Amino acid sequence: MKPVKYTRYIAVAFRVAVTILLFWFIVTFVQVLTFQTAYLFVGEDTDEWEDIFKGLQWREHRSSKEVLPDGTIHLVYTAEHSRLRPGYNEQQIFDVNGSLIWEGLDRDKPFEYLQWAERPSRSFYGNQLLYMQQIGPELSRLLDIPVNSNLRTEEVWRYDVERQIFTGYGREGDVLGYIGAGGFAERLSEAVGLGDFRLFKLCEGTGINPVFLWQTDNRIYEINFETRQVRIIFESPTGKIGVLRSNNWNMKRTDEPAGNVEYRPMIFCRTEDNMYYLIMRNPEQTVVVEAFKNENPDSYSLDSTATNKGVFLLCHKNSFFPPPGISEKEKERYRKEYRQKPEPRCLEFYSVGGSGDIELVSSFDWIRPAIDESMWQARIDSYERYRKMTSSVSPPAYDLLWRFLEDDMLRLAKRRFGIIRELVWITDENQADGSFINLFSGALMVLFAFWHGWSRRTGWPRFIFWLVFVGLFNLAGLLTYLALNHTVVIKCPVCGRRRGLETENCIRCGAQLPVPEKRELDLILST
Amino acid sequence: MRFFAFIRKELRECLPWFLLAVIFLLVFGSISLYSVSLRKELSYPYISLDPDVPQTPVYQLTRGGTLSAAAPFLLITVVGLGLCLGIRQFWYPHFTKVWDFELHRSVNRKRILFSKMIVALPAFIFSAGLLWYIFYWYAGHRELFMVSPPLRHLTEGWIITALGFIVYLGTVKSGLSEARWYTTKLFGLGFSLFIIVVAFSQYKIGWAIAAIIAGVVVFMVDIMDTFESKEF
Repeated sequence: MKPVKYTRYIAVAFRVAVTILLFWFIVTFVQVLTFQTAYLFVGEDTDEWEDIFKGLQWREHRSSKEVLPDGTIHLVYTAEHSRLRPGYNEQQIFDVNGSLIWEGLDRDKPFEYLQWAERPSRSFYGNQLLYMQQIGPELSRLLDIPVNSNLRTEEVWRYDVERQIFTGYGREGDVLGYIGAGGFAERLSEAVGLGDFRLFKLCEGTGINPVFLWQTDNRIYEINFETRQVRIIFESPTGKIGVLRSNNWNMKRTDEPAGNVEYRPMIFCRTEDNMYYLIMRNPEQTVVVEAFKNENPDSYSLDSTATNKGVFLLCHKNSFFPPPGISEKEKERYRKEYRQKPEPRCLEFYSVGGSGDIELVSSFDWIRPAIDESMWQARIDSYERYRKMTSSVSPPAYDLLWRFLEDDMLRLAKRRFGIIRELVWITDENQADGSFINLFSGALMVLFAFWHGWSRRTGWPRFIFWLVFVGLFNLAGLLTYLALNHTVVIKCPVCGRRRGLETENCIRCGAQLPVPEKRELDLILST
Repeated sequence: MRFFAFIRKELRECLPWFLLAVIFLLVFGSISLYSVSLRKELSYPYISLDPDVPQTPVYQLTRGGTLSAAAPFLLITVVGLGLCLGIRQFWYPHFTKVWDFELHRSVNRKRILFSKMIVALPAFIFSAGLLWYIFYWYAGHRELFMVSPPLRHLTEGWIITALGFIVYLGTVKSGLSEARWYTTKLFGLGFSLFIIVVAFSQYKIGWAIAAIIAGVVVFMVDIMDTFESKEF
C-alpha cells in the first residue's frame, strides 16, 4: 500500500471526528435550549411546601439553634423570611423543652448569642486565581497589590503565579525586591515560594494599606506589603488545610464591640486528616483539637468561637453514615433514601481547654421528620418528562460512558471549572438511561441509515461501521453519516436496482458503470 | 523556479491584505498603548479597609496588564487576516483567475497548496507576531509604564496570532468543501471556533498550545487530502 493511502485514512478519520463533534454540539445546544424553554413553564409550589413544613417537629428542626455564652441553648423560630409577606422577621424563642420564652421582632430580642467563625467574606479564592489566568481577548489578568500613600500609588506588588512569590515595583518601574515564604528578599534567587494558593482576605493593617491573610495548601501567612513583612500564622504539620473560617480577625479594631461579649480574633481551620486548629490572638494561642479525628466527616460539622471568657465548639451531629468506599452516585442514592426516614439530630456545645481537651457543657436532641418527597414530586415528574423528551435523541454512548467510567467522569466533573466539567455535566443531564423512546429513535435512525446506505454501499466493513456509528450517536451520528456519505444513486441498467457511483461495479449484480453508446459522428470513439 | 514563481504570485496578491493588517494593528494598538501610558497615575485604586475610605472589592485587585488594551485589536486583526487570506486564496476559484493560472501549469497540486500556505504563515508572523513583540518591547519602557508586562503576555499574544492561523485553515477547509453553505460547508470555520474556545478556556499556556497544534494537524491533513482529491 502506498504511503498516500495512510494519509487518506487519517484524513477521513479526522473528518469524521470533526463532523461528529460539531453535529454533537448543535444537537446538544438544541436539546438544552428546548429543555430550558419547556422547564420555564413548570410553576412554583412553595405555598404547598409551607403547609407541609408546619408542625412541632418541623418547627424544632427548622429553628436556628443559638447558644448563650453560658451554654444555654435556645431555638429561634422565624416563620416568615420573605420581606413581601406579613410577619417578616417576627421570631419566637423557645427553650430546649419547647416552652416559649420570648416573641417579637428580631432587632428587639433580649438575648445576645455567640457569634461563630465564618467563611472569610470578600475573599479571593484559588479558583478565581485560575479564572484570572485564562487567556482571553484581553489576555490573562494579573494580581497587582498597590501600596498607596494618601495621594498616589507608591509601589505595586505583582504575584508571580509560577514562582508563587511577589515582585515589587517602584514608581519608576524599578524592581524593589521579592516577597515569599521567607519574607522580603532583594534577589530573586533568595525568594522562596509561598506555596499553592488557596485564598486571601484583606484585613486592617497598622497603616493606610491593608494586610493580607494569605492561605496556601499548608500555611496561613499574614503579609504586610507596606512594611514588607511576612509572618507565618499557622503551618499544618500533616495534611493540607481543608476548611478555613475566621472571626474578628483584624490587626486592629477601630470600632467598639457591638455587644457585651468580647471576641478574640480567631482563625479556625480543619486539615484533611480531620484535625482542628484554633489560632487566636489577645493573647496569642494555638489550640489543637484531636477529639474528632476518628469521626466520619459526613456525620458532623463544627463551629467555633473564642471570647474573653473561653473557647467554645459547637458540634452539629447527624446520623448519616454512608458505607465507606462507595461512589458519589451511590452516596447520593443513599442520601435520598435516608432523607425519607426520620433522623435523630444532635447539637453539642463544648468548652475547649488550653491543651485541646473538650468538655460537654450542654446539648440538645431532636428528630428531623421524614421528608415526604411527594411534595415536590410533581416538579420532579415534570422535570423528568421534559428530560426524557429532549434526551430521546441523545447518544446511547452517554449511557455506556457513565456505566463503565462513572468514577472517572465524576472526577472530571469535580474539577473547579473548565470546558471539560461542563461537557461532563451535559452528558449526565442528557443521559437517556436506556429509555424506550431513546432506543426507539435510535433504532429508527439505524434503519434509515441502513435504507440509505444499502444501495450506496462499497463494502461490508464500512457499511457496518456506519450503522454502529449511527447507533452509538443517534441523531448526531445520522447527520454525520449523511454529511459524509450522501451521493447520487442511479438505476443499474443490468439489474434495474438502485446503485451508488462510488464503485465501478454494481454492488448487487457486479455490472460495470454504463459507458455512452457510440454514435456515427463520434470520431474519437470510433478510431 | 516554478514554485518560487507561485510564491511571488501569491505574495503579490496577498500583499494588500498584509499591509492592511499591519496598518490596522499599528494604528489601533499604538493608540490603546498610548492611552494606557497617559493613565499611569490613576492606575491603582485604594484598597484601604478604613470605614471612611470607599472600599475596593477584592476582585478589582486583578487587572489587565499594559498590553491588555491592545490585545483585542490583535485578535480582530488575525481573525480578519485569516478570513481574508482564506477566502482570497481558496474560496472563489475564479477570483482574479486564481485557478485558471495555477492549474494549467505543469506542477503538482502540493506545490500549489504549499505556495499559498508558505505565503500565509509569514503573513501572520510578520503582520501580527512581530508587531506584538514591538508592542511588548514598547510597554517595557519604565519611563512610560510603571510595571512592565510579564513575559506570559508576549506568549499569549503569539497564541492569539496562532489562533488567527487556525481561522485561516478553517476558512481554507470551508472554501475547499463542496457541500452547500447550509449543510457542512462552514464546519471548517466551526471547528476553528471550537479550537479558539478551547484555547481561551485554558489557564495553562501549554494546554492552549497543545489545542492549537492539534487543530493545525487535523486541518492540515484534511486540507491536503481534500486538495489532492478535489476536482477543479
